[in-house]
Amino acid sequence: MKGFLRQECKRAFLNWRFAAVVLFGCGLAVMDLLGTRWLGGAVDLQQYVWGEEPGYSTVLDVNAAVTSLYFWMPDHGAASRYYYLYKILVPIMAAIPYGASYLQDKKSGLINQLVVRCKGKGGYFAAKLTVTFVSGGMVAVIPLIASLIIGLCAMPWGVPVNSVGYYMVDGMSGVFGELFYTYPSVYVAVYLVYTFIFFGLLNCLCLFCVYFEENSYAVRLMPFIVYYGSNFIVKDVLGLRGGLVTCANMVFFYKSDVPVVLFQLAVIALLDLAFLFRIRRDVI
Amino acid sequence: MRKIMKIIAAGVLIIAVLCVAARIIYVQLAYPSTKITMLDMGDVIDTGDYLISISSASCFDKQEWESYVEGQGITLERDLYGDDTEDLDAIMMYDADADYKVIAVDVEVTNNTDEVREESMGRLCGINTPVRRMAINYYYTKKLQPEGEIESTKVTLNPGETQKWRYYYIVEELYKQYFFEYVKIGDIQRIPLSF
Repeated sequence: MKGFLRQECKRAFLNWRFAAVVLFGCGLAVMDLLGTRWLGGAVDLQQYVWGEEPGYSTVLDVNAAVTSLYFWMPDHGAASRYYYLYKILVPIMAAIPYGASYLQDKKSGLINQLVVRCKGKGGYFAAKLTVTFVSGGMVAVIPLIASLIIGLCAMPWGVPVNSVGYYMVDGMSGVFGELFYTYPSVYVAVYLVYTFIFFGLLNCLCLFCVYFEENSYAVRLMPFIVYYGSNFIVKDVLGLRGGLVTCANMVFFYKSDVPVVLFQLAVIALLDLAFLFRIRRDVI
Repeated sequence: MRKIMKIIAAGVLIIAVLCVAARIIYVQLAYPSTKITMLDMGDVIDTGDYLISISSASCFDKQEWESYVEGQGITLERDLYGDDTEDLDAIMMYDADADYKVIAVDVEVTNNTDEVREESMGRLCGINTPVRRMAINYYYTKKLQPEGEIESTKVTLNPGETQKWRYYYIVEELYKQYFFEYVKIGDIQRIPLSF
């Protein structure tokens, strides 16, 4: 089983599709600075350091006492079209490298050999679920880490000061909002773990989808459909807050939204685990 | 050939990583510091133009505060408005029917320049929590200054002059940590308050 897990990890991560989606995500992170008004802020700060105008006066006038988290993509929200594009596309990006691998194994007949190698169906299905989860999480998280590194290239790391009003995180009603303004490194770690789990769970819906769909494109679209469909049902049909699209960004995830979001994630997790029923049902 | 391509790719990657690391280190060292300096009550915050210190901080609960205000012969803010006033909470910025608390802070400000300076009380520096920027209550701040009632929170300081100001903040729920804060790029100073 360990050997098979290693092999599937190589299959998921050492392929051109994974490299392409990660590069695309990192490209969005770069454009989030270079293609938005935050570039002006970065240039002003550089001019402030060099004592050049107009940046020097601008920085003093607006009292830009910010840290690198000011340039972090999630803090920009919908104000940055590149972050918005990332948020819309990440379920599709996550599914591209490895989402249809189970379907491909079944269609090609490779599953017969892999199950024998795993010494049973259980090992094969568990490994598939694990690697799909990790693959989806990694595609979602790597651009955020890239954005963090880009932010560190623009301004030093430090504890954000709420009173300057440059950050979108609500310290009172945001989930872990207080952590952002007291222990920002812990907040970032929690944020990345949350995003990893969120999109990992969504990505595993590709496996559940194989119950009723055998088209690889449709299978890869399943997480995206659930992501937006659930958001539509919660916000527009039920009139509640806590849509998955908004709460995928923990910056805009408020304490009052927690029950709704947890319920949706629990349903998705159950659907993901339903894939394991194929251990009994699948005839190989 | 493939081996050479791999070596070139690895070399480019290493150079890119080193460049990014160098840039991050440069920014950490050369850019304005984001470090927050924690001071104690009685310490002086030197902003360059002003010297600011906190002499005392106290917290009143609702009953204590209303007794105090009535003892000073001042009308309670709530009583300035009629019962039919709409959006009273928004006008007053707190719910006068709730069990609010009042934080009073005594500040000494010295004009450390050779020019006459005009400043807005509460804008120069003030109380905040880590998660919330607080605003002074202008009504009580104008009414209950140590030197007597003032017309405006915009004050004038002559060169070398020291003035004593008292800030009042009204909160509906006490947070666990308050500090007096001066924020300027590269110079963030906080004095934790205890009451």
